[in-house]
Amino acid sequence: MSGDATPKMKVGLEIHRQLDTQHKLFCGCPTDFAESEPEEKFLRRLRPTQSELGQIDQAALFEFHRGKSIMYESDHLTSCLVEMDEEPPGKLNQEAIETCLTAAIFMNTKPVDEIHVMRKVVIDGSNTTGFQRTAVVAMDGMLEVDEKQIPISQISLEEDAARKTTQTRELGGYRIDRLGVPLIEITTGPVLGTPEEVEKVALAIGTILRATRKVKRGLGSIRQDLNVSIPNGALIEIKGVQELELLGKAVDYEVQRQLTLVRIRDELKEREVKAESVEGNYVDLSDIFSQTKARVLKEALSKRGVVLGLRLHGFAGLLGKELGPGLRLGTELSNRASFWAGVGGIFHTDELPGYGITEDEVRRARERMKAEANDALVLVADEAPRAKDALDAVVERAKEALRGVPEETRMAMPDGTTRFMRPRPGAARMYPETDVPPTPVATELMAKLKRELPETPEEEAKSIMQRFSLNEKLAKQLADSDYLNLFENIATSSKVPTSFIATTLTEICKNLEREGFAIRDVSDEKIAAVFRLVDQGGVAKEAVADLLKWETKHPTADPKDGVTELGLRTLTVEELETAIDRHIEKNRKLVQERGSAAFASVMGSVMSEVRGKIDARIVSEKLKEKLAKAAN
Amino acid sequence: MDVYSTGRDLQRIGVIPLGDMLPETALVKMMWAFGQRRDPGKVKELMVTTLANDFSKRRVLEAIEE
Repeated sequence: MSGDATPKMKVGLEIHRQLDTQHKLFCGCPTDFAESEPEEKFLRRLRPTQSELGQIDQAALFEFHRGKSIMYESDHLTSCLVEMDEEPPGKLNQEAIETCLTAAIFMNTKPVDEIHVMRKVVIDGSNTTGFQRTAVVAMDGMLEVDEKQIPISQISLEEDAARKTTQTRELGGYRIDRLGVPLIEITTGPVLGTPEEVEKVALAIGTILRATRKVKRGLGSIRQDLNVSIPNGALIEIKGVQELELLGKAVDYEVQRQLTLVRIRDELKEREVKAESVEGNYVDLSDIFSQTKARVLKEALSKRGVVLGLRLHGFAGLLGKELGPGLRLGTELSNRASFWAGVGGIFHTDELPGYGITEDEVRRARERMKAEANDALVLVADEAPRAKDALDAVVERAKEALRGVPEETRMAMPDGTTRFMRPRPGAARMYPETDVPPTPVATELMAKLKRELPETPEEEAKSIMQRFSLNEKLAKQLADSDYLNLFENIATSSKVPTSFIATTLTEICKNLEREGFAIRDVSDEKIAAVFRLVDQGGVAKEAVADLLKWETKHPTADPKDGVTELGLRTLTVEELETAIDRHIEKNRKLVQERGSAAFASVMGSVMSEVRGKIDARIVSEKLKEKLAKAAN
Repeated sequence: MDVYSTGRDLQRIGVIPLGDMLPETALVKMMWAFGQRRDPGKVKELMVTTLANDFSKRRVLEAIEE
């Protein structure tokens, strides 16, 4: 933290990772994702019923009144009647249970006697059932990270939700191939005190999970949630931080955001703003904007919508206050309005004139609403009932600003900032899943798992060092990467030098990622196919990086097509010799003057033409021969 | 047969759930299975293994062609 004295933050981590099991958690479907177009679609409507504990979810109720429907897409390869909620779930996947128990042993957590599946109410449509099945597998463990004991409060097994495809105001779209894929969830105690510590613990948990050899890698296979709180702030749940490197940043931004919200609260107190004065009448300002150039307002008015205004007493200057990069108090109000009313957004006077709204329009609106200098105006344009709902949500959020930081669930953005996602669910959103019988954890099973415990990452590094004659650094990097299984597969099934495979899967992949190529999303089969091409002499080793880059753009294509498209076919020795002759000719003067000493510069010139098309060793050999001849 | 307690009770007394296998198929398969193995445990194993599409591990939506 810069500026402020470091506040006493308390952070807890929740790490979710997809398991690479043979089949899904409650049915026989594979855990791979669909590559084909959906074969069927079915429409469902959200219908909020009282949960078995007698509560109705407010957000679900809202969507229901709005008549929101969900369109699910499926195909016969990746889902069956269980995902459609047309058939009850089967028994818990034993392979997934054993993977969780193995992780539990690694983290010294105590397994439960019986695994009880629970239903967690989820109302956004991402589960066809309206709930997510989840089961605690082990509890109360310790993980040592940098000589500090980090409490692991829970290891759970969950089913993954459906994949969002499209989302409009009236219709949500989901592909159900991902629904039911097993997820392991590791929850730490809320004891992490710095952003750096959060990242270190996440890294340590990641290493242990990989050691089970049963986790998936690639896009969306890891999801990290954070629980962040500071004194005087609130407990904020941040969902879906995808990259490990973003965890620290997300914590930093969240602490900053909470501190600023607390300062805004104090400022409002000083301005003597009361909750009652935030309540207001919404005033129809449509006539003021009848000739407006502002696109959003014009569009709404042309569809028989209205422009409603709300006066926020004492909020002038605060709505534009920055809570983090690209995030203002105004953004928070706007996100609330979008969530509850489905409007595109709101305008507030701290950002006006702007967006096509003129100074004169603002002045007339302020006059009409009798706004004083310290008051801010909020404008929203939509159909009348929606616009009213939007302002209700804005009023609600503005009142919360008087109290400081509202408890909510926020969504992580790719830059580490967060946006409002939904209200924090009540504590009692879980109830027992009666369709799945409890699964006892037998002592014999635990004993067997302990006997057959996979190697720890350190042991693994040592073992592959010996088996594949790698140096220590490469072996360690591999053991720490997601590619260990893949490395073993390629190394045992081809004659490609092991150190080359290892370097490619670690350093080269990392560099390509940094350059913006999502190698992690290229499937294992495709990477293996690239190495097979090298093994069969189809391409030179130097072409591997280019082919991997190509695969990130053509995820379903055969690397062979990449070879053709990129012109990476191996040169024949004759073709190489012609090329060398050409380059010697081009550098004739240099060669005549310096003879064999011209090697380095001619080599560079030749390589710029043939790189990736033939092994550099052959080039150097042939060039030396030719230069020797030319010198004579 | 895990959803209702009747099904769970049936399993407890030794009834083997066979998914969507037809009763006629189950009878013939059992007669055949006892012809292959004497040990009831082995017979059970044979019964719950799909040998000739006698039952499905996954049931998908059967679209009705117009």
